[in-house]
Amino acid sequence: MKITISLSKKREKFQMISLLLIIYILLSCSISSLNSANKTIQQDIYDFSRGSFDILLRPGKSHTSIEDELGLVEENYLGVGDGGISIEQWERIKNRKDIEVAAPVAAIGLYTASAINYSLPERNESIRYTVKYLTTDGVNNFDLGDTYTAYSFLDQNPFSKYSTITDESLVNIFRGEYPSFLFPLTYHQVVAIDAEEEGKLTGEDYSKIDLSSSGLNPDFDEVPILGLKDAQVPLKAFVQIENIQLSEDDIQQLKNKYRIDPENGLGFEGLPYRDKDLHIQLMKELAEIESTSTEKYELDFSDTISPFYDNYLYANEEYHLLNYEDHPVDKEMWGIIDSGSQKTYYSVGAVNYQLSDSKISIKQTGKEQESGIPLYREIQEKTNFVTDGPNVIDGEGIYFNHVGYFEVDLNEEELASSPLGIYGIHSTYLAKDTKTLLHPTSLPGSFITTPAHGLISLNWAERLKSDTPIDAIRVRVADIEGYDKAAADKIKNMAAEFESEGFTVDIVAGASNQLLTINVEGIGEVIQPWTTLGAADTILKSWDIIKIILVSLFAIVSLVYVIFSFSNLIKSRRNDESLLMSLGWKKEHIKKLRFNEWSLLLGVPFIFAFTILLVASYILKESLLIISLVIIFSIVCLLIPIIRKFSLANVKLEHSPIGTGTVTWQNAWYYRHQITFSMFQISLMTVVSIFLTLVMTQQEKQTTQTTLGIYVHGQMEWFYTILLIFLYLLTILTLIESLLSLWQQRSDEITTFHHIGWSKKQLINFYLKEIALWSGVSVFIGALISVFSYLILFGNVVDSLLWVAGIVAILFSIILLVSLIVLSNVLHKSINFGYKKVS
Amino acid sequence: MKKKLFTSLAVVFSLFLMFTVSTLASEGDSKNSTEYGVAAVPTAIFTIPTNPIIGGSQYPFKVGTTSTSGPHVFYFNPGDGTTRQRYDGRGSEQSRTFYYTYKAYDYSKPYSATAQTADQLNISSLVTKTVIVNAW
Repeated sequence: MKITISLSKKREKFQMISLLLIIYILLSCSISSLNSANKTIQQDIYDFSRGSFDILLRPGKSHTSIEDELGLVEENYLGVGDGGISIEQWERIKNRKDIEVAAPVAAIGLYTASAINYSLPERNESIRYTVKYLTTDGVNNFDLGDTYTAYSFLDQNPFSKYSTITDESLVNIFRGEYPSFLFPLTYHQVVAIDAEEEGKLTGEDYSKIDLSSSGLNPDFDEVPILGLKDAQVPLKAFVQIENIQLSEDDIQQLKNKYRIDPENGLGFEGLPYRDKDLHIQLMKELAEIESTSTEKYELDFSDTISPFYDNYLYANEEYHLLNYEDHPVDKEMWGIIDSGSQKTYYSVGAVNYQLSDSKISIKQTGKEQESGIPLYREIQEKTNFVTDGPNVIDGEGIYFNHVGYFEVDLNEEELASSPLGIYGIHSTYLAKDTKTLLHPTSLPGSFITTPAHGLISLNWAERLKSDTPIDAIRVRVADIEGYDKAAADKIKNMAAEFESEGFTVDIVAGASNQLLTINVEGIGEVIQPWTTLGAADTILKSWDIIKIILVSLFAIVSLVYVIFSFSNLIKSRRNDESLLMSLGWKKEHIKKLRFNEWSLLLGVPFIFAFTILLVASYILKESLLIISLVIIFSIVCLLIPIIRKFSLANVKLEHSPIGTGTVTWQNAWYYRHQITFSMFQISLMTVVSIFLTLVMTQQEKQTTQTTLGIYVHGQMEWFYTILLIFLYLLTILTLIESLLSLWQQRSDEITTFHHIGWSKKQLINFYLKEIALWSGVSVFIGALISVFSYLILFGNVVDSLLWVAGIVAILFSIILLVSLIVLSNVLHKSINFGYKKVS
Repeated sequence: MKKKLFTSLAVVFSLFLMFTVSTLASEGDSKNSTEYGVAAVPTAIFTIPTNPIIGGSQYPFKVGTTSTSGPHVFYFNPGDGTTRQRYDGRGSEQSRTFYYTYKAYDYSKPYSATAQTADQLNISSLVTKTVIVNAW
């Protein structure tokens, strides 16, 4: 018996020392890891989240319903707008000393470039040209109405060696030497900016938009415009070239018939102006001439020019379309440019997104009459000026002069983009076929808001739009370099100030891209780039919540373990101390013995842990490891007298049986004081498992929606994993310890059952039922606490109930499995080291 | 004697004046070519048909330049709308002819046709001429 007690005490001490060592190391490391991980994440957010501006100012009540619902805006959300901020308001903001940049944006509307012609190669034969145009949205093609016809044949006259017969719209455009057609009007987003402020924001040089000169039309003002370099014009021309038989006699007969006298200026060219009916008759007659050979060519303008291009455009001998800027030629060039193309423009409204059951859809609002191109937003044709011939009779004449290009950053993997609102170039594509990219057609009304295709000076905004032309001001706060707590506070204070002035204010630091699936009528599901506003703040909050939960639960689990283990130890030592007193030991000697024992129990793991962590802190240069250990050791030392006092106070508590119910229930009730701690620990483990999992999933879902969030969470994954492993390890150790403690107290009972003939299987069955009862209740309580806490703190949990049930089942199974292992071990020892079964 | 004296004085005075004027003139020239270092801005020479112009008939409109720093670019705006035509020369040709047909109306209509030229260094001022297009 003496040997047994001695062995038991030694094992108990060794077990306690080992566990305390683990706790010391685990707690110190977890606190230190928590701190260093926090530093890493803070640094990442600080480095990556500050974009080129901090605050977005818009006129009051500018948030769209979808923005309010989802907290997201379309990528080029500033490309459309009715204004609301005046130039004076902007200048007042710009002149503030605490503002580094105040870059205004004024969406001017959808404009066409100055109309130009394109030339085909000269042909020394009788030719019939037929041209038609097609535009596309990436999925569907749309025929752009009219077909254009022109004839060219050799016929020497005072003006040319060719005579030409064309549709009226091609008079003075189509020439024998330069078979030319008008490039159809295509509409593009024009935005007004302040060259200086925008330059500070993007680092680009926009100064060309401030240079203006007088052109060939003194009555018109020239508006310098920069075109987006990489933007495409979604347009194709289908050219059919037919050789026709037209002899000199045939030409002469036509001249006679249609009263053509080139020598006196009355050529074929001007017939549509002289006699429309005769011209129609002539065109009909020529259309009946059968072709002797036919060539067909497809000219793709999207590969050749960018919006607002206004130089020569020509097809080479192989009928490949080329632009003159990139492919200058040696021969003389001739062309026309129509400076009145900006007479009208289109003002477009916002897309009416419909949100239902977390799904976003867009309905068509109508169709363009001629081409059948679907419209997804309200469009309104507006007039800048009215002309009568060469004279401007209403408004003030303007024309765009293409003075150069601007480019946008192609870095698609940027972690935290600043939603500048007019330079977004991420593609929209079909959900079912990611290679099929979508884009607006050449006409207005698309659901896609493109980046600004043309930039003009803000100086024109009042004239071309309204007295309050500015849609937004992108503000960069002065004297901050990144997004940390102090910077965030400064930005928030300024934002609040602007808000009080009536602006719609968004803090955009740390905004990030996000892809949304949208169901578009007539196209199907598309993936469209959107952007969040203010993701860094969300990520910081997310990290704070998870950090607090992790630290709190981990500390509680550790604390409960220490209290419970010490309490058990003190209780078990109480009998030994009584025995020693009965043997005549004095109180002082017992106290000294107790002191020596506690010094050994607490001091040995502390010395080991201290040595290990000292080396670790030296290698890792992390002094917090040692500081944490000292603090934890101090707390543990302070706990001992409290636990002792509490344990001795509970000595006199009597266990009273409940008297009713099953034996299992009565047993559980009888030992309720012993199992209370165990139940508490199991409940806590359940809370850790369920609540933390739910919170982490929710927070991760919220933050990994963004590019920045994915990056930051990628960095945090390893830390969560390690900490959770520590946490579970400690909880399981606690559970094992508490079960051992419980069954060691009931070892006599186990031995008695064994003596009266209970088999090992019966014993296991009997005790496991007990465990199943109270551990089941504990897990259930833990699950209830988790679900209700989540419901109160974060909202809907219904979707996660299946997960909760799964976690409960797994935890319950683990508890039973661990209990079975521990029970088998206890039974084995009790039966083997106790009295032999009486047979 | 008095007459000879006055005649001599007049001749000397005249010579002095001529010398002063020529000196001032040469100073001005030197300022233009050396101090500013800018080549002469070309002048557009715009020739329109002398005969009455009738709508629906084709006519030549010649745009020339005083510049010899070719190749030249020639611009012509008929003034009946806002379309302008452009010719990019390749050699040192100093003029190009644009052929144009005005729309025909049943009444006379005046237009302000304009021309402009550019060489490799400068662009000329606009030259405007009134074109009266008679009814067809």
